[in-house]
Amino acid sequence: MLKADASYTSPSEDERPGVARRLLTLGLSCAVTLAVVLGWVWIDRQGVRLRPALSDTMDTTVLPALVRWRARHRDPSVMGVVLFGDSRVDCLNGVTVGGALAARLRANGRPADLAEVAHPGLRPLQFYYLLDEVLAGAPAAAVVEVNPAYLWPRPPPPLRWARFFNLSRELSLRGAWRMRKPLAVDGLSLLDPFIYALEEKLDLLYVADGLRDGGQVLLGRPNGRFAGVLDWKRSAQDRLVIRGALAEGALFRRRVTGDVAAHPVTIVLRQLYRELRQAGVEVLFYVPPQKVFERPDPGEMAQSERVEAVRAAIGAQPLEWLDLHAHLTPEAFRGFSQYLRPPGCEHVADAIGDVLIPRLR
Amino acid sequence: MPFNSLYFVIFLLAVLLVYHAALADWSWRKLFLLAASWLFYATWSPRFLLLLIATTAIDYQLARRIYHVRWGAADPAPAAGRRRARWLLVLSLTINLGVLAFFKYGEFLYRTAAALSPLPPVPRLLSIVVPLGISFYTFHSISYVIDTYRGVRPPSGSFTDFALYVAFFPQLVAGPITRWNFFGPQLERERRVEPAGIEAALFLLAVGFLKKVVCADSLGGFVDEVYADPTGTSQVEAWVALYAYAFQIYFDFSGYTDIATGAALLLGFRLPENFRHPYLAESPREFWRRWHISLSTWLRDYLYVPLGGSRRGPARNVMSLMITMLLGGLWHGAAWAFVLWGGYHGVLLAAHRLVSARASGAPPRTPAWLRRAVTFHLVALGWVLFRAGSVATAAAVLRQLWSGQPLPRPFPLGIVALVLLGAATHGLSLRRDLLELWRRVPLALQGAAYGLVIVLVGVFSAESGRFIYFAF
Repeated sequence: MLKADASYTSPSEDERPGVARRLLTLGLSCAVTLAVVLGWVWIDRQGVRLRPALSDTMDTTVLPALVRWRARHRDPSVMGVVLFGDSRVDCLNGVTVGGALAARLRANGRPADLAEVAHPGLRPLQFYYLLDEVLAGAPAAAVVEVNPAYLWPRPPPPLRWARFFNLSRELSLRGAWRMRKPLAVDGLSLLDPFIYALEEKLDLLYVADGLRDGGQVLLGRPNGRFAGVLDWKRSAQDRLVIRGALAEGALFRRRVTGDVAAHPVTIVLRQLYRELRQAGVEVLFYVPPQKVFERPDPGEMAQSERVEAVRAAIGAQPLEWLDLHAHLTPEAFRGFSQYLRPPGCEHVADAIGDVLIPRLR
Repeated sequence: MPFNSLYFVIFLLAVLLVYHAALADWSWRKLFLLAASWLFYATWSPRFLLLLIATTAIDYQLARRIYHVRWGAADPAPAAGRRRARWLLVLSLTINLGVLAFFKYGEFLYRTAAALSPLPPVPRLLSIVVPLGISFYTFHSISYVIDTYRGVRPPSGSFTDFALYVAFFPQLVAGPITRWNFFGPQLERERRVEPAGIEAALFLLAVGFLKKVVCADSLGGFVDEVYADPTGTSQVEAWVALYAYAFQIYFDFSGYTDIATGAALLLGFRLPENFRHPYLAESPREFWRRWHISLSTWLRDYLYVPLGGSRRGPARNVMSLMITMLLGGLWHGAAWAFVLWGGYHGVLLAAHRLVSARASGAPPRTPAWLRRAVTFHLVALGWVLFRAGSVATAAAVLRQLWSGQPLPRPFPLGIVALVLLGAATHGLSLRRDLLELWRRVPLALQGAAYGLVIVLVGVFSAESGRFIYFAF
């Protein structure tokens, strides 16, 4: 760009007068520009954020459902149960692991008010974001899906939309401190949860996303040809991609080691387990059935070894851990994917119920 | 604490405030900068700060000993003194390279061995996080000790000065790799920040943040998707990704360097030039004189020349080039793909050297634009291997370039626009100094532009990724 000239840092003979005036001019014009832009954003904030706010299904469906569950008055005979999971809990046609589990519990004389905290892409870190909300609903039991894809020594970096950055606003100061390493791996600093919380308090959440979207719309106005061109990555997010060695994988090595106990997902699960147990909640982790198995790299643990090592590192007892990864035949899955057909969800719910029901008596 | 974080902005403002407003004594200011740099590093890992301090202390002492036995008593030193100095140099190199090898390459070597013969899972001892910036600060220390041995410049008489040279926070994590004879003199007397320096610093910071947060990260989203699923990529997208990654890595790394240089200027320090519009290079050799200049000159002075350079005939020259580039590739990361990438550039350099030797100094007959285009495409093809991380992915991406697969999505015009922006700034700089052009803009407009940059960076930073060179 330019040479860092010596005259920038050593006394120069042609020093121009009025340095203070020049800096003042710069600072003032910068401040006025900022004030104009921020003023416009503030006045039009509802309009600016509308599109991204409406398209965030975590905020429009999962969180409101959780809030409703928490506030619901339960009959003493009905226990609160929560299921944390990702897209693997959904078997289409309205069949989910949570729904099937609630039916199974009811059939066994343990009626449950079950909150399914599940969303495509949701990971243990986001389960932890929502832990305070969940505990406020006084659940008797928590079922936590452990997707083995996240336990690889170099897990695929989550797509950007699946990092649910602004959901970190739910973290308390203590929670953020405890999650500092997983947050950092996810690309969030310790400050970010509080910035998002502040944005929410100031009614500015989604405004930055809205401005980005506004730029897209602006680009699309002239003749429609520009629409979505910078948004290529987002439209492509819908594609199911098994990510290979991305540059971020190398960056991940900065913070993550092959040491299972220090793996960020293990850290989150361990903390989640501790806090649930401290609140008197019965916990059951389960590894969902899998169709495709990752072959370990040379010098790496096989998946079953890794899963067991994670269990031990979390501190969960064998009774609190259900490994279903090899439970179903390929026919139980939809096509090539790891997603189950409806009977698969029922099978998973039955297996969970078999372990959980005796513990709830 | 990456540069593209609010943390860093707050940290830099706090450091500038204390450095300029609260401390008058130069020694205290240097001590404060050292403490700030160590704090900057500790925010990433307090544990590895101890490693940084330990290697700094060892190199400080060894360099002093080397200077004392080799240059301190008599000139030329007696043979015994020279021998002892050589042993001390070897000790320092062994420690520095040993630490680098253990942390950065230990697990890689184990996995390579495990691929050849069955071994148990990587032992916990080797499963260690790679200390941030280790490749950069180790090279600082090595050049310091070798230069002391060679008598280029006496070692520092102050531990604070040397430690600040190694850990100076703007360049600690990803360079530029600074030499002691460049940085040392700046520590001798109090640094003053001149108005021209402030203007240059603001310009560099604004441009650096724009390059990283707006340009590099926007290109990165597109490139990520193509490399994640090369076979699902059309031919057009594969070509766009080829150019997009060339400019992504340029915007990313040169943006980092601009921010580092700008931050250093605000503290009154200069950092060496690291990029000189690399895609204007007319040959692979010129490319390495324009790209990551501080690394390529380091490799030239401490590896290529000692290996024989160009003084011992063509065969030795080619061998020196290949070894230098293979190790240069390995420096970028513990993976065979990086070694291959280095080897690829070694082959390009060697071929260019042989062709040039045959032309024996006659001016090239091809036009400059064609030489630039050919060099750029050769470099861009090399980036495929660099980005892919594996030969299989690289081959898949390269295959798509000729696949004829139709474009199923809208043409990525925004990405192409960013690539063209990168090309345009390169072209413009052929004739004009961009900073000089910027200085002609009225101050009020400059200020307004900085305001808009703050807004843009604020908006885009929520999606900003990490700097690519933080991995190395």
